[in-house]
Amino acid sequence: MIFSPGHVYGLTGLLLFIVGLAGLILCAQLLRKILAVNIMASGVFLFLVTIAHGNGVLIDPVPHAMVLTGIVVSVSSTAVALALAGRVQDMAHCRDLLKKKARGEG
Amino acid sequence: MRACESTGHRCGRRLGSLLSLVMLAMLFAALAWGCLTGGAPSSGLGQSVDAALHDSGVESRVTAVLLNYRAYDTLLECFVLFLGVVVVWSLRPYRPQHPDPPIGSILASLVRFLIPLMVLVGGYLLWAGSNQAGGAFQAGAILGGAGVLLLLASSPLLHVLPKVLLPGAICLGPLFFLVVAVGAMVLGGVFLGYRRETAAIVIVVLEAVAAGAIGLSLAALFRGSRPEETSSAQARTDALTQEEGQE
Repeated sequence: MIFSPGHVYGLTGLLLFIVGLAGLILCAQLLRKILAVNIMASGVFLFLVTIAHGNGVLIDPVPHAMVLTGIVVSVSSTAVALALAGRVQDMAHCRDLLKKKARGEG
Repeated sequence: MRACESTGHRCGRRLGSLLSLVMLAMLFAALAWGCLTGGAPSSGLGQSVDAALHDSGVESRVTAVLLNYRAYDTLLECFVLFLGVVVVWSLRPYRPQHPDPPIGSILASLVRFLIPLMVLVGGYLLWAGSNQAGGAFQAGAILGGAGVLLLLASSPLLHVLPKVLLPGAICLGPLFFLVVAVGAMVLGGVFLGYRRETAAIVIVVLEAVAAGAIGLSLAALFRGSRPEETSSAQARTDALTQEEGQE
């Protein structure tokens, strides 16, 4: 087994994926979960680009194209997740206000 | 009693996170083992892409993959972006924000200087995409950045533009792509199968429209809520707010 620079990139990608997964599981806050998913996505992109490099003789453009597409998709999914998280926060705020009101009147 | 329960709860949670950390470490070890001993990497599809490059209409291999061989990826991705904007606008309706704070003259002149430069770089990247690194996504990202800058500086330019422009342009990207795809099917029999003679011009036009739609969609996603509405929709929202207020 020869340890090449490609392995360093690949292992870094895997490490980022695992760090993101840990954040997704262990953090309770929604914003941290969204950030964790983004870190996971970065790890996957790095891994894909490493695969594209292959043996270094002929670079495979298909994973490159997939990463470009993936970046745009991850931006839109992040935006949707943030909008949902904002909605959750609004509703929690509303519920708190209602509770406070009920307590004040009762 | 309650204190004891909460201590037990905390202990259980700590044990749970420890267990998940151990499992994640094992997963990493397994994946790293697979990565290091995975045998010789294959050359992938590089040779097939090179062999068909002269039929694709462009010289850049990545652009050829994105807009010719696997153009349906890009088509679906345009729709994903469009769907993202629709969902964000549905979830977060227009709210009149508090009046914009006055921006400094340095920021204002920086914006005036940077916006034309960013549009120029975006256009260059779009053009460069046909024979080197670049293309619709990169150009779209630069244009999106320009939009974000305009939003942050609350530029008066945003209020000058007609209000139908933003939804119209965001819809135009995926729709135009779909029209081209179906048009290619009607003329040649294959969905998204361009003819060899017209491929180059079709790809450049498609990329220009897609870059504009991507840039506007990214800026709209950054804003995070629906833009100011037309008068009739605004009146409806006002009525709804009033009803809610009465309840």
